Amino acid sequence: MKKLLFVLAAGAVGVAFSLGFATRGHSTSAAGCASLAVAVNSDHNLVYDPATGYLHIDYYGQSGHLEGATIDANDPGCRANPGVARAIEHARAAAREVTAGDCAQFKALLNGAPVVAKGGVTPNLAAAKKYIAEEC
Amino acid sequence: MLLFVLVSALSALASWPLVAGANDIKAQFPSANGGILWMSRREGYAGLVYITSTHCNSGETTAYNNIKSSTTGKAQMTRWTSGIQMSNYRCDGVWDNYADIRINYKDQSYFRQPDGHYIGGRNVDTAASSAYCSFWGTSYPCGSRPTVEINTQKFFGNSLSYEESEIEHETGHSFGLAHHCVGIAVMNNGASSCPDGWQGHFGSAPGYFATDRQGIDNVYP
Repeated sequence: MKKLLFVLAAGAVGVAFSLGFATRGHSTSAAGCASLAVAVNSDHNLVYDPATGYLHIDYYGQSGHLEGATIDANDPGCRANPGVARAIEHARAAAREVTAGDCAQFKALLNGAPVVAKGGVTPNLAAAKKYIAEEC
Repeated sequence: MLLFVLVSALSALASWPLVAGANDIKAQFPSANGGILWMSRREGYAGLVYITSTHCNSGETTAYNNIKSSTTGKAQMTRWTSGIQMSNYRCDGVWDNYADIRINYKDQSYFRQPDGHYIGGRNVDTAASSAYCSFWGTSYPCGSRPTVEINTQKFFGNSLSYEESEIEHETGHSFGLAHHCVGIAVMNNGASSCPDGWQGHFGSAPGYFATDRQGIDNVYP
C-alpha cells in the first residue's frame, strides 16, 4: 500500500512540474523597453492601437518559449532597443496600410463611387469626410 | 494518511493551471471590445469574415472550410450559429472598409530570426480608428483591423496541410486568440510540455479544437 501511495505521489509531482513548466512557456510582463530581450523579428503577434501607442508584443524569448510584453510605442526610449523598434515598425507599417486603404476608398466614395451597405448598415459619409481631413 | 494528503494536494496543484489558464487563451486587446467577430456581430453579419489577400490560394480556401466546419454547431459557438464563415472578398490585398482581415504574403527576410531560422507568419492587430467606427455607425472602440503576414517561401515550400495550419493559426490570432497550452489546440504555444507536444497539431490541423473555440467564447463575452 505504501509503495502504491509513493508511486501516486511521485506521479503527481511529475505532472505538477510539467504543468508548471507549461505555464512558464508564455509569460507576460509590462516593462521598460531597455530591459526587454526581444530579438529582431521575433515578434509573432502584435496588438496595436495607433491612437494611444498601446502595443502588446508576443515574441519568441531567448529560451525559445513565447513571451509577452506591453509597451508604449510612442516612448522614444523604445527605439534604442532594436527588437522592440522592429516590432514597432511592423505594427506601424500595418497601420499605415490600413490608413492608405481607407483613404483611397473614402476619397472614391466622396467622388461618387457606389456606397454599399454591410450587414444592413449604410456607411456614414460624413465620417469619411472627417477622416480624410484628419488622416489622409 | 500523510501520503494521502500529499497526493491530494499535489493533484490539486497539478490540475490548477488547466483552470487558471483558461482565460490566457485570450489575446490582449487594447480595450474590452476588441476583435473582428465582435464588430461583425454588432453590424449584423455575425461570423462572416471578409478577407483581402495578396495571393488567394487553395491553402487559404481549405483552411476557411476547415474553420467553418470546426466552428459550426459546437457547444462554445452558440452565438455564431453558422460558425465562422471566411471568404476571399478581394485577391489584390487592398484594404477597404468592407474587408475584415488582410493576408499579406511577404519575403522570408521579414521573418528571419537571429539564429538563422524562419518563422512562418505574424499577426498584426491594429485597433480600428474612431473614423472607421463612425463610418459604420458605431462608436470607438469597435474592434480591430488585423493583418496576417505570411512567409511566402516557407508557406509555398510546404505541404497543403502546413498551409492550412498556418492560416488557421495566424487568423486565430486575428480573432483574438493567444497561444495556449491548456489542451490540444491550433493555437498551441510550442512548449514541449503541451498536451500535444511542441509542434502540436501544426501541419495536420483540421480546424479549431475545443480549447480554441473556448478561447473565442472568452474573447467575445
